[in-house]
Amino acid sequence: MRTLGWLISTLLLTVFGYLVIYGLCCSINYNGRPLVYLWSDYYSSNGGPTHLKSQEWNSHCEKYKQWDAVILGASRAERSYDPQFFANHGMEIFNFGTSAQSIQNSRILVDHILTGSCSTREIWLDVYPASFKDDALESSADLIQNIGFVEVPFEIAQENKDFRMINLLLKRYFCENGEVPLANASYKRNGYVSVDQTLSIELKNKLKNFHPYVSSDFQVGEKSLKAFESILKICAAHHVKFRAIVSPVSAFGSQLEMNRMLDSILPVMEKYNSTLINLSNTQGIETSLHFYDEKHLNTNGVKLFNQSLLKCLTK
Amino acid sequence: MVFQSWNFILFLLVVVVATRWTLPQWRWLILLIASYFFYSLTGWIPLLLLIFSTLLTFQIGKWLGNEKDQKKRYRILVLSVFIQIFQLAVFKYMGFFESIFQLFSSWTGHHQHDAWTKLILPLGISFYTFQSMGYVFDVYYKIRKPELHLGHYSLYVSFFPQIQSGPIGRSKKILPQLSSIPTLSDDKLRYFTMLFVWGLMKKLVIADRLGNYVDPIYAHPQGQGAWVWSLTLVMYTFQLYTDFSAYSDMARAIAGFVGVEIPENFMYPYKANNITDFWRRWHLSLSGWLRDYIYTPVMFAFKKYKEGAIVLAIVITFLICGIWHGPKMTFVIFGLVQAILLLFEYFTKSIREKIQSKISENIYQRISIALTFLVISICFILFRAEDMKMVSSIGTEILNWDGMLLKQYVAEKNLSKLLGIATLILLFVVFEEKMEQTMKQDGLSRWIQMLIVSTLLILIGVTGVLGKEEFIYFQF
Repeated sequence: MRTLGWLISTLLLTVFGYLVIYGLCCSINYNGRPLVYLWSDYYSSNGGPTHLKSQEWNSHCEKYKQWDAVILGASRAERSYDPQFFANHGMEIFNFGTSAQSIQNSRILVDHILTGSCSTREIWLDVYPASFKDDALESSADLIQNIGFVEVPFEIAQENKDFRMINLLLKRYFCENGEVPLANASYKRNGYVSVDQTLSIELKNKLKNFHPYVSSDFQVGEKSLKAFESILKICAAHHVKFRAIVSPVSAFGSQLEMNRMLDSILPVMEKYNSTLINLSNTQGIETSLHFYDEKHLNTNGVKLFNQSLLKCLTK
Repeated sequence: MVFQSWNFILFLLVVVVATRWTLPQWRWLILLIASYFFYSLTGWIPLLLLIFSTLLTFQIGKWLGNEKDQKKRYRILVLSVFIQIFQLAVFKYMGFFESIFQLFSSWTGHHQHDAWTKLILPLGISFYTFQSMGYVFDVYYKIRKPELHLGHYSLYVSFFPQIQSGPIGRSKKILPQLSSIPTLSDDKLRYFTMLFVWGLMKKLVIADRLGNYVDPIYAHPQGQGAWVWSLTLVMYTFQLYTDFSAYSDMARAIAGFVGVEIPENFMYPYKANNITDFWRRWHLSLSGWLRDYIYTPVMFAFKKYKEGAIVLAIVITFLICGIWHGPKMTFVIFGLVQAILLLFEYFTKSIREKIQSKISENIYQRISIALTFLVISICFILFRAEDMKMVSSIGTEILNWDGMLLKQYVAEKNLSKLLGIATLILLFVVFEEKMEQTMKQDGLSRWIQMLIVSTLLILIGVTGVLGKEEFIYFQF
């Protein structure tokens, strides 16, 4: 019993000391940023598109709003679906794609979107192999620090069972001593981020020797696949139509990884009678003209892709 | 399941509570079930292989114990060693043999498929094979009697704190503990808690942070220049030590929590004043094993050749030491380089003693420690590099003392962060021994113990590089 008492006292002392030291490191600035940035490499800054789209979403949802579709996914989703284009064709959509968004985190977002003050008829999930890796640090770091839903950061921290998430939570609530950079030229409206550039010369050269069937040890993560099924279940429970969409993939994309991802998710989708729209090879889209890097479409690419998507949706 | 994961900590809590509630003479059973469960997480084939190895060496031990005829005993020993080396060769070294075979095939124009390399590498196979082989040697040399209790012996081979990366236990010290495992005293429990958290701190605060600087340089070895490589070599030398010694400390602590004491694996190796001294301080369980079962028998077998026997024993021992680490030419050459350095020290002993007598002892010791560290840091290139091609490109880089490359590196990595790393290493070098001696002190106040554990945990929480899982020695 004495040892148990010693262990409990040690833990209490640790928690107290940790909060004090962490608070101190947050309040002391070094080079204009809290000291914790100096040694914790996984701290991305707060602010940026996720912060902006969270604010925009909350302002829309102050009064009830019904969306036609809410888009989820990683940066490929964020940069490939232009709400203005769909608005011009009579569809109100909101792009909730965020940097490196993992499927586990998409699940948490779907849950909150469908139980919150806004509603949607459809959920579109942009699927890409990288989102199905079980490592969710980049996405969680971004969401914990910037998402506007109060419960989501805690839920992400709890879901990940990773001490770094506790640090990120503390940072969000104790370290907000820097200004949030709101101005962001590439951020448009309703969550969309667009980039005008085309492929750099280095990437064009790299493209010449690239082979899409290079070997890869990528496997769909077990947790991600469970989260994916969970998204389908949540949508079914709320009578919301779910669509998985594969947006155009550049010539740098691994066909092998794409096939592995589709092999894993298609049987799950079949169970729930969900639709997959595969526009990975959209006609007319060329890597050198319509992408600005290895993964992301530029503004011209987005136009072509959105037209094709609209055609599929209205068929 | 790595030691620093929540799953492992939960598993350990269950095992500790279960062993405390069991009679000392039955605790081996709880630990054996836990060990097999732990190892089964790596797959069923590795588990079956472990059980096969256990049953084989247990039976061989019994045969050796019953056999009086020395010639027959020798044959049994050779058979046992052959089977175990064969098993190790199939699962660990087949890729190496295949690469040589393919090289030969490419000369002759025949190409073979790569089915051999598809074999899985069972985790910890080098460690438990050496541990069970050590037992067979002990019985053969009559250092101990054969173990008659299969349960105790199975636990000795598969004990979960040790099985992934050692320390390689010795039958004489571990097996006698398993028949009646004592209940842990409160003092010991607090000591092992400190030791576990100390290991955790070394891994998460020092080793993994250094890894963030070392890995990118080894991933792109060209165009870095000598200055950057010099920094990287020093960082890797500390990364390897803190990573492996962290694992060993945590393994000792975990074994301690369930009432079993396993040996220490390091004795401040970077305080060694020559390479011979270094090998008396580095990976003690492996170097001790090699000394007792390879070096000494070879020495005795060839003792009529006097110095020739020493040369042969050192070369064979360190070749095996190199190959034990893995099926790569870099490890073979690492072993050979160590042998050459040790032989150099052996044959220059009198000259070095003369030099030593002419200068101050203090200065001589400091220069010796610095030189030994330098040589070891360079040798570890062979330990870390993927292949000999990479070693040679690093060798070329080390000749390029371009200051601009260092300036670029410092600008990219941030001077404050690099100074922070240097301070961290310095603090570790200065306080490591003092800290470990303080933790070992009998009658250390519970408040000081509490303060040590809390401080280390806070350090981990605030500055730890979290998220990396594997230890470097898992690959061996």
